[in-house]
Amino acid sequence: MSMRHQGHRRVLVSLLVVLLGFAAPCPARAAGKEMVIGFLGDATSLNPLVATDGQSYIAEWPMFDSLLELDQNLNVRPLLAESWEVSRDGLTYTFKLKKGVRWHDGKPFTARDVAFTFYAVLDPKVTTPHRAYFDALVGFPELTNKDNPKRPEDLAQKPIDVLDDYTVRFRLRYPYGAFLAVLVNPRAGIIPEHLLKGVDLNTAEFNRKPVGTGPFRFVEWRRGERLVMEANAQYHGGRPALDRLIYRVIPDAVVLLQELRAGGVDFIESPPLTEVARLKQTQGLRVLVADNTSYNYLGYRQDLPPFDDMRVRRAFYHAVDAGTLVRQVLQGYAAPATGQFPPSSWAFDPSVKGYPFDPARAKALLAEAGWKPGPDGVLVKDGKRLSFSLRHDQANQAVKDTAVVLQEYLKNVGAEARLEPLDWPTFVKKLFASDFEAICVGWTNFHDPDPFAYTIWHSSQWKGRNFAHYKNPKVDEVLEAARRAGSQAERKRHYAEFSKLLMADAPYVFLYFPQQVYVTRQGYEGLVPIPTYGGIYQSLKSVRWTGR
Amino acid sequence: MQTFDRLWRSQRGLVGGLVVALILAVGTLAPAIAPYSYSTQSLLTRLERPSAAHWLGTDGFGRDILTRVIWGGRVSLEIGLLATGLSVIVGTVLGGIAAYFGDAVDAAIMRVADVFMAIPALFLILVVVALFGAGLTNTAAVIGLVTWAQVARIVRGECLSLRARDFVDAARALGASHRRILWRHVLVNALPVIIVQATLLLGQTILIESGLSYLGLGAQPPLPSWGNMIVEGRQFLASAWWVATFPGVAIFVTVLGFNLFGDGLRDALDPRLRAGD
Amino acid sequence: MLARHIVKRFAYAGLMLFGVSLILFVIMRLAPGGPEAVLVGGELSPEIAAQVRARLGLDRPLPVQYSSWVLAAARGDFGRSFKTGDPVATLVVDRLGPTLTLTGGALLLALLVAVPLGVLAAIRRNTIWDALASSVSLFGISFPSFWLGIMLILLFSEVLGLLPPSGLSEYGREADLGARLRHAVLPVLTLGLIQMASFMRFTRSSLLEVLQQDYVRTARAKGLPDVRVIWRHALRNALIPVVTVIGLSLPVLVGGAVLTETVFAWPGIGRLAVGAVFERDYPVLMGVNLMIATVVIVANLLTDIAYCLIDPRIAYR
Repeated sequence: MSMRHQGHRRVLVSLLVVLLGFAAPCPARAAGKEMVIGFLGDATSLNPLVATDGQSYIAEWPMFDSLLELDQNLNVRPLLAESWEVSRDGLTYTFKLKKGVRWHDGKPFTARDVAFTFYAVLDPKVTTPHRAYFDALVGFPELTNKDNPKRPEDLAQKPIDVLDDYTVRFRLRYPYGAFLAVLVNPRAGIIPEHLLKGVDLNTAEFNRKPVGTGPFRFVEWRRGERLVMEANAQYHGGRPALDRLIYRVIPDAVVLLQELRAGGVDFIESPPLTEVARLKQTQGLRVLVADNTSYNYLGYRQDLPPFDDMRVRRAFYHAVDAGTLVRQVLQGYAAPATGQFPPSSWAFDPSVKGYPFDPARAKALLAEAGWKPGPDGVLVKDGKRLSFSLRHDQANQAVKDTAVVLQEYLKNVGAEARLEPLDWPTFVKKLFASDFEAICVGWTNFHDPDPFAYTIWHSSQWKGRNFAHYKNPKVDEVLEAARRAGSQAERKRHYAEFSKLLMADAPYVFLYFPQQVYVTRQGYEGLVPIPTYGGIYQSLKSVRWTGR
Repeated sequence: MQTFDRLWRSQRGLVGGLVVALILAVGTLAPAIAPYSYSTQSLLTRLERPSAAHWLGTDGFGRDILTRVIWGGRVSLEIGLLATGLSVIVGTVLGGIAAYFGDAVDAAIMRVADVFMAIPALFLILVVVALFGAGLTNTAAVIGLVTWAQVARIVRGECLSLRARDFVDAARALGASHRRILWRHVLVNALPVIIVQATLLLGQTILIESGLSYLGLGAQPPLPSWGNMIVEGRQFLASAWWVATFPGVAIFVTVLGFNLFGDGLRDALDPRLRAGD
Repeated sequence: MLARHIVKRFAYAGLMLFGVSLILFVIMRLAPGGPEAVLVGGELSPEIAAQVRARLGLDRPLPVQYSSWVLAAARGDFGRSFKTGDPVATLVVDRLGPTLTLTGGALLLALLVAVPLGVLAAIRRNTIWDALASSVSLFGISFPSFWLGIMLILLFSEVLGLLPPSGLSEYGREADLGARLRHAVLPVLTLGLIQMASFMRFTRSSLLEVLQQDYVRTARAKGLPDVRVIWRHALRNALIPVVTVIGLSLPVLVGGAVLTETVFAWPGIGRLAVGAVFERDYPVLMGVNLMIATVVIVANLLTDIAYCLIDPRIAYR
């Protein structure tokens, strides 16, 4: 054998060794010290003021604290604020702040940071959708005037006053029952004045390297790959048990699930629902379920035929078997909807019922409305077929599946819905331009009833979220009364009335409130599924590893 | 005839040809041979195993998978034929014009072709489909308009080598008009190459469609395409393997068939390789 | 002569980059939808949307937007991402490494497998070996690559438990070469398989052609052993054109990387591009596209020049 051949053989052997080395099972991560959370997408911004998409909320939440936070029953409890007082007329809110709280850079947190944060929300130069929630503040119209905004100093009465380092007072124009509810995370995280004064908040470097008062501090963010946070040892609520929090971005849902099984990820949200039963039986994994305030519906332009006919709208309600849809396609992980408010909300009225699944009744209603059988199975009236486009977001699996099922149910009563899946940017643009006939949407809701009930159903909002052009003077009246009511009992009465009026008009087919499903590795304890969007992430600060 | 003979003798080409013929037949006859409707749902019998009633099982909406695989073939073929047709027509015309007129025309057309070759096709298709909306015709048109450059290059090359040959000069000497020369001789002689390219492109198109489906931009529900069937069925892999597997097999067999057929054709048609027989 | 040719090609390359950017800009801006929906999310209102558009400069006339982009780009300023506000140049350069690793690895793998297969198929033409070699190489392009990727993940991670499913490496182990290689195996394999068929086909036909040329026949007639004839005379000449195919295969590889990177959560250019498309992040999209086009054009230029140098028979026009 020549030297050359021996050389070859040596190369081969070492190659084999290297290959076998690869093939060794992947070493397990040091579990317990850190928690890796897998997401399908990445955040946009880590500044709670300008970050407003769901993923960004979840990303900035552990780093920023708000004045108040929600408990499991969606009531507020203190966080950065120690206590508060509401004046008898409901127009002044005075907050006492916690002492000794420090920003992640070591500077003390004071009432001036609170004032800075909410003045920034009111500043029309700052792009934030949260501004509308603060409509009740004194001077709101003057401060937020786009063309000629006033400065707080120029007002006769300032909406936010710093009384001392640890006391801050808000003044309202009218009593606003939801005011405490809009001060909670993830929409109201407090940002530091000393780092952001005079800085353009829309484009600040801070939005990518944030400094907050929250339980975790920022370490690194590699866009589209991962976000790393570490425990804030100085946290005012006590150092979190986890050393490190890692958000990994894994765009493929199947791969994400596999990462969870393989140990590369400890926690995921929204697994494919058909797989949940199997996951529940998988050793080492645990499934958590939380209610949600968001809902899915079939909606239409109220002012366009055929949807301007209440009989048609009610017929469509009768045509759809939302119960079977929820049980089968969603595997029961959703609560049937009977209106705007989720069953978990205090504004929910159980006496309001939807229209039961009854195709015969649906057909009768359509016949009553003048629709006659056509040659191809689609109903016809005055030479027009009962056919319309049904637009929806093509990336949302639940919505997509729902639209496919809706199409089939509508077909069974003689209506033709032509599915038009659009990508989210296009869809939203058409939505706000009221450029649609029918839509199937999963709509994020607020934990308090006011912000979305008012902006979706009040007739003054046709250019805004009332893109379906709903109009009922009685509903307008009730919504205004509810907004100005001080006590929750009074508000509850108004919202019950609102729910009844709404259901009678059947403006949408309210389908269901999808539940939030999470899967975590067994051994991580302390996760609290609060029934609002992403509520479980509030509890990351109290999560600990028990080693099984 | 000689070509056909050679194709017959190469097993790969033959196998490929048979697969292609089968798929074309199934696609054409889909409305007649599919046992159910591709869109009719039955939520109470979703994700059922293959059985006598549903040979390939049912999907997440209780629809018959065999039916959807058959219709999916039709949809994939429609996209493929449309895209390939467009690509071949545009590519052939532009490539032919470039070769025939030469000089500035040639340079201009081929530089534009270069631009299209420099942008990864899938990327450009993704951009256009994502921005303008997914749909059968949209997708097919975009694929066609993005892949024409390959065809144009091949046709141009082929035409250039043909132009140098004697019979074109002879035709010109006999007083044939420009267009006549172009069509009669050059293009007809380049046809075999075009056919090979078209066959391979058809296979590619089916894959591109499935890739777009993966990104949510393929054929849209309830219309089945093999691509979106795999993508929808993927989430059930652990509990209902049949939903994604059968369309996956269908794509594999079909694309392999087109590739084998194309390769076989190429071998059979390539004059440079004939001497080796 | 060669120098002039190269200068000319560079001028063309510049023009082509301009063409690429113009085509993309026009396509992008004729499309419906805009970035504001992504930037603001579910709480969007028309008022906020208008504000966002004004801030991003999208309320200006299109020609103004394009010319200001071109002028800035000519100075090396590619703007900032609409989404995160990062400079586009940084984003793209950060993602270049993973993509080059992936495409480079795939290219290498494809060549290592496909060229020997092509040689085998050519010298054993029309035998079972030929058919086998074709089948193996066709395997990769007969599968949707995302499907292949997922199957490989399930096989190597779920069933065999040998390799991690996705990502570049675990946090805190970026310096561990072994860990990084383990993560790279599956994506490189998935992408490499796509390219094998065309390399194999090309090697085969190119070698077949050379084998029929006179000097090879003569060498064979002189009684030289087959292996030596093929190795010494035929293969070298046959491989020259394969060099060109490498250049041509780059757009295909980068295009394939779009899907492969999405499946494997590989933080490269392809995923950046997919994200930018869906989020209407125009500056990032323009930057990514320009980067890809530049890489492809430069690669083509290099192969072109290499080709001219290797084979003096090629006439450059």
